[in-house]
Amino acid sequence: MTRYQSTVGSRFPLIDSMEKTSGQGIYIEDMKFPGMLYARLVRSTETYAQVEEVDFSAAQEVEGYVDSLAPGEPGTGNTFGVLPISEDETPLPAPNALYSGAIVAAVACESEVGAREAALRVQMRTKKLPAVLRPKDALKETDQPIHSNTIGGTNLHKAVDQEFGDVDGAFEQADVVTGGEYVFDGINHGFTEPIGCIAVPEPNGRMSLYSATQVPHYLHRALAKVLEMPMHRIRVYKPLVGGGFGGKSDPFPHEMVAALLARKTGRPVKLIFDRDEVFLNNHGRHPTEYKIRVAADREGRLLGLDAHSRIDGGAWGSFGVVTTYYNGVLSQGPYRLPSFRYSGRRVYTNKPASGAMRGHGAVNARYALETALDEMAEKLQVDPFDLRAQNALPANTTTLNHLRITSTGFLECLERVRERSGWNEKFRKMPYGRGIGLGCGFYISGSALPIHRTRTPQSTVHIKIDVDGGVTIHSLAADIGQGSDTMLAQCVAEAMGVRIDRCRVLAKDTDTAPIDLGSYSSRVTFMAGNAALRAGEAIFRKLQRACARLTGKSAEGFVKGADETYLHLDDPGVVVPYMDALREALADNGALIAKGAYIAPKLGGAFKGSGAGLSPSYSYQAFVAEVEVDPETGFTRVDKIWAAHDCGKALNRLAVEGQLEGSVHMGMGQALTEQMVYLNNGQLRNASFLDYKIPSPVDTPEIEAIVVESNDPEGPLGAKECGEGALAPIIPAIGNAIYDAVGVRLHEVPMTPERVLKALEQKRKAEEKARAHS
Amino acid sequence: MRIPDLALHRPGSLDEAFEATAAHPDHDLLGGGTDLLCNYKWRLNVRPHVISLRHLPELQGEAAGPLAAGRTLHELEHCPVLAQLCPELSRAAAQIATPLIRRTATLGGNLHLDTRCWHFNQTAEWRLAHDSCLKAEADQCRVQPVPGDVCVATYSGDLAPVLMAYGAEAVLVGPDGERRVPLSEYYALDGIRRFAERKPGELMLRLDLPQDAGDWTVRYQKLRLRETFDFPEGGVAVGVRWADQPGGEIAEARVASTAYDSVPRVHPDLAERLVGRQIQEDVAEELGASLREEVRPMKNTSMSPAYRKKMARVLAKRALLACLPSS
Amino acid sequence: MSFSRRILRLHVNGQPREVLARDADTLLDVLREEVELTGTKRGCDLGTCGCCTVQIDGEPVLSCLTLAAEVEGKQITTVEGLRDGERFAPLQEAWAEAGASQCGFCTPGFLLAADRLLRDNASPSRDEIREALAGNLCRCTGYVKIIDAVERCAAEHRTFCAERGRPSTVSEQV
Repeated sequence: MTRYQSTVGSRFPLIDSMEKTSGQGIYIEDMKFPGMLYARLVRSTETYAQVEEVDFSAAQEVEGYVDSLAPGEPGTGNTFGVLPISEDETPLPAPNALYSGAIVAAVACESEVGAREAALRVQMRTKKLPAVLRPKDALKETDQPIHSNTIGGTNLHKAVDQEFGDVDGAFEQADVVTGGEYVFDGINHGFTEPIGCIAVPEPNGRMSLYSATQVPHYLHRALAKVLEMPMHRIRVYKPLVGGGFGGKSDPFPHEMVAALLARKTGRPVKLIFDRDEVFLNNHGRHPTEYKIRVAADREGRLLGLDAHSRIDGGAWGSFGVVTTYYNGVLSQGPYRLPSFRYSGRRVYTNKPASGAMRGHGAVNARYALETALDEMAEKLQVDPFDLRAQNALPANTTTLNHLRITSTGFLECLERVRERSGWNEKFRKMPYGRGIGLGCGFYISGSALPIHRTRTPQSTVHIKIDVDGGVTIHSLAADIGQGSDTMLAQCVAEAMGVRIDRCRVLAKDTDTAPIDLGSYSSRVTFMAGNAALRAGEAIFRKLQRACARLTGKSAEGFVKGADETYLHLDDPGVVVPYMDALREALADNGALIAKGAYIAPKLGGAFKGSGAGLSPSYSYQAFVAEVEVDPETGFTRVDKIWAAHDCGKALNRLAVEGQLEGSVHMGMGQALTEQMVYLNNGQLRNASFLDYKIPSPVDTPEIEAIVVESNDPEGPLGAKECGEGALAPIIPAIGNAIYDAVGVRLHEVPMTPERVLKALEQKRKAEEKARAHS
Repeated sequence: MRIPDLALHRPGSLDEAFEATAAHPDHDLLGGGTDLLCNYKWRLNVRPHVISLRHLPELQGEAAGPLAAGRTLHELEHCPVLAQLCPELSRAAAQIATPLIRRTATLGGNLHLDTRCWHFNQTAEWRLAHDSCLKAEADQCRVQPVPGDVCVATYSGDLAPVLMAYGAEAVLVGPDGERRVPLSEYYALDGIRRFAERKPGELMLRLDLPQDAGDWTVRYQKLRLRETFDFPEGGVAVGVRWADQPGGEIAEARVASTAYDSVPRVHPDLAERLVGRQIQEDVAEELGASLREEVRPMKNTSMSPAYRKKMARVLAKRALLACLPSS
Repeated sequence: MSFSRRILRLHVNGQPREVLARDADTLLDVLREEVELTGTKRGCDLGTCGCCTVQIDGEPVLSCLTLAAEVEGKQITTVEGLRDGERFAPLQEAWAEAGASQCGFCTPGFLLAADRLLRDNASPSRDEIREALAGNLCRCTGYVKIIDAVERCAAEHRTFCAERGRPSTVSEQV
């Protein structure tokens, strides 16, 4: 008898890929409703100011002008935010506009053309406040803190201080200490689809919000708070989303504004951002100053890590409390550390907010650590691979800060990338100007601690099957292009023994979907995947019982067979087709329904902040970059990247490779070309795709994705995350390759030609000085 | 984004074009539009009338000639005639912006590319907050530490320096007929006025190369962060005519730069110093060092002026060395 | 203030379409809002992402930087016009099979640019593909699978286009 042929590990397209290639897929800007108005936001022209009055009289002269929303109107001052511990955003200023480009008011018109014209005619009277732009200034005491929840009369938003083991002792007894200070510019997600939403006031008094979001559930909660309506009176709907990467993972002011305008006018309101507004909304990677010291003995055993970060949160809290922790906590792997100290400070400044971005919190810290390790290897005269392998965290252990380590494929990542990249023939052996470098990493596979203290599962999946035999999967995990709908379909199909194309996924509507916390913290495959498997297994048990009724055989003896059948283990002749089993299961009963849920296990220690970084499992990476550096111009050209990533189990190899390649590309952008640049008055200077420089097809090298599988014991079918952890390691890999090529370490990221050239000039001067002295 | 209201005129002949320009003095000319429409979307100096040059047989199509102003950059890139006549122009065209922009952007448009500055190329809302651009709404330029009344926005076209190195002349046509101006004298060092030699109502018809263009070796080097999309942050074209053997003594030379000033410009003194010499590393270094002293980049593009100045040396040196037949 | 519109006659995917538009409206505005073909995407609206790429008389151009009134009488092809009735173009199938779409927002623009390349070149190298797609940004894939897709269907797609009467058009000659 032929058993069910598992799809796990095979390569197959995302289930919605033809929607996308046909052009029929519907994204937020593609939607229209009868009687719909077009809204346009009016933005602050001051860096920090109290909004005293907004004057719409000139705007009202524009053809098709309908209505406006101004500070002080009902709901516009209600606070919200993704983290309950820092709900500091308001739809409109209450009463302060916190940065140049912050939303101040809105107009709604019959046409987009009209709305644009009207918004430009809006006048505002403001009172300027003293702006704070530099993080170090934000640590000073002030009479006008940007928010009321700051620490010690300053603009300090969050302070984290952690120490484990004897750090000072470790550095005293160390034979080698490396480290340095690093500065990282802010980075934007750069998804291709601009942010946008449509709010529709329903005739029954409910409010529907269609939005390009990664977190329908958190948006749902925030809307309820701002609109002062019970959640059941609100519906959030997520169409196809054109990329997110963390940049659509907060509830945003414009979503609240659209809903308030819709309520006020009684008409649907569409609000789509221009590209520059996406940059002004930001919530991207924090501009960061990072100090690090790493201690080791002469045998290369790591003794301690001492790190400090100061991160620029911009105007709002967003995920910033988590970011502050992650900048330290996520340096606890993939290496065994006997001692660890970290202090982190997040400040508010009058700039667009920073928030979560792919690799959240781990990326900049990772550059510092992996650079320090590269220096360590050189001082110890050992190969960088060997140093890392020697200190690798073993499986089934616990870190100092109580992270529970289960599966790890880190050593295999190291071995395979070393071999594929030809490391041994290249490292320190190539001519001047050519170099190769290693960077490693590890990342959470879902935050174990939910944002809201509740006993509700983090992921629940419902399945409904009726006479047509199709399997409808309901979830609120947000597919933003990473393929989570496909993953859910695959998990259910695996559990039930049916074809994936029998499954249809409705993961977009809070009216029908059970709660899932959404697409952030690399949690979806692990958590929603497990929930989907459990739901599918529950259906399978119902089908087993139906098979038993049809055949008189024992229910538990039925297993999944080929071609959507169920076979009995005791009697190879008994074969029940899926549709027969289903009809029997439906008889006298109606549609089959089942649910599955996932709650992360209780993890972690009993200290303050122990929840940060806890995850049911972790992914591991070892990446190598080969570069060419032009010493005369400082230009770095990446020739090839090899990226080995332990994803537990590749459910769909094509999708896993896609996540790795995309992460590498995005990390390469941060490494070399991308940066958010502010003028001295706090205005963002480069809010466009011309000036914010994402690598193009001709700037991106071949990327060899190497999939390593450690078969996680708790992951769905063994899987772990693959969408975020793969970003961080490429940045130090490129930095270390630049060092191999031309002998300079970059202390500012991105490593632009200008910065590389400056480092080369400083090195030359230092060498000349040294020669002069000798 | 939506472009503010305007009236589009589509003349089908030069006479119609002259009529349109005369009838609507407050107009812009539309070539490919890949730059103009971006500015319009950001409400930068939008004019009520736009006169399209895309339907004039004199400016495009087979009969108009290989260097007609209406030819697209894509056409320049792939034109077999130009591959023979001035191959570096085709290569420079192929490096402009992106393949998609090159499908519509034109030779004339590139030569008339509006100057750029980070105080200028911003949204209408951004400029409301900044009020610092003489070329837009403000009354002073604040690019330099001392505010000034001359616009120092940067010209970033790639084709002008290459054409200057080939010794090209612009052929202008107006109601009174055609006239010729050396391209090197066409521009005015002013980011707003921009052109010394264009009279109201005149159009650029085409570029003409001198008879001896085929005897010249021209090489262009440009500085930009990405190999596509980005405008040059510096560009240098060097042209040489050999006295006898290619790679031997230089009989005549031209040096032109772009993306360093409000105009593309020639550097006749530097070119003069190459005459009678052979291209060697030290000669190239000397040219680079001299050009570095001549350019005055402003703090208004994405790379710093100090870096762009340093790179002027590298670009000039590499452009000259690339003229050698072996390279 | 008010806004005046006039009738434009466009040919979109082989069909004549009459729409109302302002002179200032771009082809992207008109395709999405008036013709109601929303496959063509607005990513930056300034020519710097390639999401809005369509073909005009067979050549890929940025619809966000093209005035609609300028292309009256020309043949406009959008992503919706790549397929032949029920049958998807090989490039569209290959795109899905190779994993070249993740979020899919850049996909239509890439398809229109790649389609043009393949009508000329039945076996482009990976570098030739990169060059042809150098005006399109993708933030999801790192371009690897996009290049895979173009590479794997090149000959088949070319044949498909030729059969549909969409051969390569060499307009470069003078």
